[in-house]
Amino acid sequence: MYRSIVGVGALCALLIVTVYQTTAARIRENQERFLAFAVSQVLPAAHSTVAVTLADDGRLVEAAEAPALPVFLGYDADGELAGAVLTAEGVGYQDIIRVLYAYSFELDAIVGFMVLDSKETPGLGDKIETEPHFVANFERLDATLTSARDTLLHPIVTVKQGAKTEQWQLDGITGATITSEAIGQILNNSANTWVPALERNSDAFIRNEISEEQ
Amino acid sequence: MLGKEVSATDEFIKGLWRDNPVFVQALGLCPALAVSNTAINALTMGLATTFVLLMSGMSVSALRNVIPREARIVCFICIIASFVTVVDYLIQAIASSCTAVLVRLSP
Repeated sequence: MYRSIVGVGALCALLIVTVYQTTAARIRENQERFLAFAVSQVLPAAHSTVAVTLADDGRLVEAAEAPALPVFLGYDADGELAGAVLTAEGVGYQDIIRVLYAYSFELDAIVGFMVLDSKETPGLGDKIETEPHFVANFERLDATLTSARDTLLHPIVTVKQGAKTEQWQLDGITGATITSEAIGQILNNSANTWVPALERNSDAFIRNEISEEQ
Repeated sequence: MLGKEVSATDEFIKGLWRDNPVFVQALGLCPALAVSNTAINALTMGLATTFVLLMSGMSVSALRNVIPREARIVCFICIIASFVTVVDYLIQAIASSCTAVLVRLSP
């Protein structure tokens, strides 16, 4: 009996490993293509992008290799800084939700949003991608910094559906409370770390010509 | 099978209609309903289900005689789960647009 269980298990493991090995390269390629497409969706103004990362001394540098949560600076057709596109993740209702959002230096606000990966309940939690009033939150979600420029002036929070009164609040989804609150938290955490860093360093990246010594 | 004559067409119709896993046995209704929101998703889902059912059916029939009765369910679950994983990888490799939806079904 044990022999047959172990045998079937080994066969299945072999099958999965083989398929994984043969498809891994294609899957990675697809994901990269999807990421590039997503970036162009959340920040349509961006004609070219530069991947950046935060150095130990708090400065923004060009990323040598793609980190787990990539951050891009987007430049328009003239090579001027159009905004930043950031990846963020956090725990949702079922599993980790990965999102992509665009930050506008001009408006001090989040101006685009897209879900990269989520396993939220179909028909409820996945409404964060389709529900018109929730998507409308990201037309201009305030992410202004304090005068000390080290943290957000107003934390991004999700409120009950229909209770949104301020620009930094996310109008939640009834029936998807946990998921919509998770999105608020994910954005708040990520923006609190990244927006100060981006604002502090944006002068060095105002044009798409990054000097090597950085 | 129990000495009864089984015709291939009869079996085929049985699987397709009289014993259809989704409509009659009401199995897998949740993913089937959630994913078939567009034609392409429904088609992909259908193909994926067909692949898993076919491959696991074939493997189970092939291994039926070497697997003792006590270990039946464990082994069959293992086989079916493997094919679900395989189909998930294949879909991710082939169609990137369907992935976003279908990935949510894989256990």
